[in-house]
Amino acid sequence: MTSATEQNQRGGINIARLLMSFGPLMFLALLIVVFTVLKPSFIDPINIFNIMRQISITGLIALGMTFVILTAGIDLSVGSLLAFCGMVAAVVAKGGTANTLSLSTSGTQGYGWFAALLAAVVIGALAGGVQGFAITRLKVPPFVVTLGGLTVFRGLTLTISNGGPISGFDASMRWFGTGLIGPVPVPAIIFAAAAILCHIVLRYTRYGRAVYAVGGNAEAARLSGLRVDRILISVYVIVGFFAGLAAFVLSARLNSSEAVAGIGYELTVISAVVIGGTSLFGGIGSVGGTVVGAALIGVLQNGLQFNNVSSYTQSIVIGLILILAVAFDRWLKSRVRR
Amino acid sequence: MRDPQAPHAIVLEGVDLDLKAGEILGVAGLVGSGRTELARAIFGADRIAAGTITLDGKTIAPETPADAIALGIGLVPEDRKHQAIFAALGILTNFSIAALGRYSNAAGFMTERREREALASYRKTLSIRMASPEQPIEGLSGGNQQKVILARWLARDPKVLIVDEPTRGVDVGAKAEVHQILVQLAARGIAIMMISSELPEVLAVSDRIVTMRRGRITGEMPGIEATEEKLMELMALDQKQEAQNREAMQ
Repeated sequence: MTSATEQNQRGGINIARLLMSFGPLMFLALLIVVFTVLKPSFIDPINIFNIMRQISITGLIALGMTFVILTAGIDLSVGSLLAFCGMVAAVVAKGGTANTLSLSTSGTQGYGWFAALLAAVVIGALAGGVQGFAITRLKVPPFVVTLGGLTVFRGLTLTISNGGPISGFDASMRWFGTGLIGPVPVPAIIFAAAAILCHIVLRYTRYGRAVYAVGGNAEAARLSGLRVDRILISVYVIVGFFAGLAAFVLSARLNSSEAVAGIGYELTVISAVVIGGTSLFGGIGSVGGTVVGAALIGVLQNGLQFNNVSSYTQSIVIGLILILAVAFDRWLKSRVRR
Repeated sequence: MRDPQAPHAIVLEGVDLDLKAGEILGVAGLVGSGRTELARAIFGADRIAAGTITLDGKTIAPETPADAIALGIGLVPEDRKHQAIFAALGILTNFSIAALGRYSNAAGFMTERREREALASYRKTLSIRMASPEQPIEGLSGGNQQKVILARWLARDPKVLIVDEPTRGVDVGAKAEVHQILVQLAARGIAIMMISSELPEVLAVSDRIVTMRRGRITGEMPGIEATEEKLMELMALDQKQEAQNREAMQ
């Protein structure tokens, strides 16, 4: 992001550039104002925390997706992977296979929340690593590999769960989905902490620089000595990890792992990243943008619901906003280049 | 020696070259003479089927650019836009990308102050005309982009720097500056291999010149003895000889 002072050095503030950095944020502020005017209770802390809880699941995955899209990749498998990791977490939490335990609600025979969390993120990261391997070594495009993953992970989920949910976790696990620290929901805190961590990694580390470089120009990155394949695999590991973490939080919140969980999440997640200004062509974008993008979708959904707009209409509005956001971004860039 | 994976690739054969510290070796050749292939082979960008490379008396076998870079070799590639610059990224990232290890600490965090200081110093010594370290590199002129790429390699203190068409797409004033930079680098003890199809450029800066044609080295002479005519003769396809070769093969 370019700050205003640097623009001054170049002679005059460039409004188009400023808009490019803060456009999504201003749009978010505008939405909040509009919804508050329509219904003042929209701004109540209860509702704000509610929105934060709602966006934390897809938001977590969107953080990982930011890494992937920065390398000019895509991961369509995240929704299915979330369901799969959630099912794995449930099996571990309850200490057995789905079929024998789906009716039991006691968590006493299980391995506890920590083992469930660990299983979810490890399986997620491994699944991402396998997809990354196929993308780099077998040279299958990310779109195709993860489209395959979308079906494979859903099938695996249905296989281990036999199509049904696994429900009933102990209180210590449920806390991660429903608990509060002060007035703030735990999922929102997890999301915020993860966002800060990702921001630090992308903005301040050697690895972050390498991710931007690979997305900016993979051949130049290779000729500059970067191990491009390793970096590409790593971003799919990261998004898989976050799908696993999100799965754990979602299962904890619903007190159930559903075989049909996460259907369509990939679209919400990619929308959040793209609305936040990350370029699908790689090399441009930020975690801050993704957080704003996720918040924008969350506020929009919640605000429309608050005003009794049907969920059918909601999806129409969100889709149009996505297209407008990218069109606006393009238009700004064409002005900046001139 | 034809590579079955790339049957139309230019095959290097009988290329025997020495490069000394502090020297600029000019490599003159037309498009398709194998000069770029030679550079990429030394740099580990393409695999070599046979042949050896020695550096400081030790045999090296870089399999990737990362290997070559670790050994102290740098390459300023021919196609700046597609192979060198990260167009949309800032000058700072473009500058430090090959030396991330030098501008970061053990925990993997960038030491951005040192990085910025280094860029500022190269900005002065190479007279790079730029607005700010955050400015996307695509906003710079070709000459200034090339200077940033040169700074990228200088940040690593290379033993060998290969520059492929260093002044392609660079305006006349900046061309002379780039040439001056190359001479200064050689004076610092870096061995420079400069590939170019512009003969005046080769003649202006080279201590020694080799000519290439069809993947072979066809001649070698000290820079002071070389003239455009002599080089052209060695670079150009000798039609009569080619015809004879073809007959001999049939």
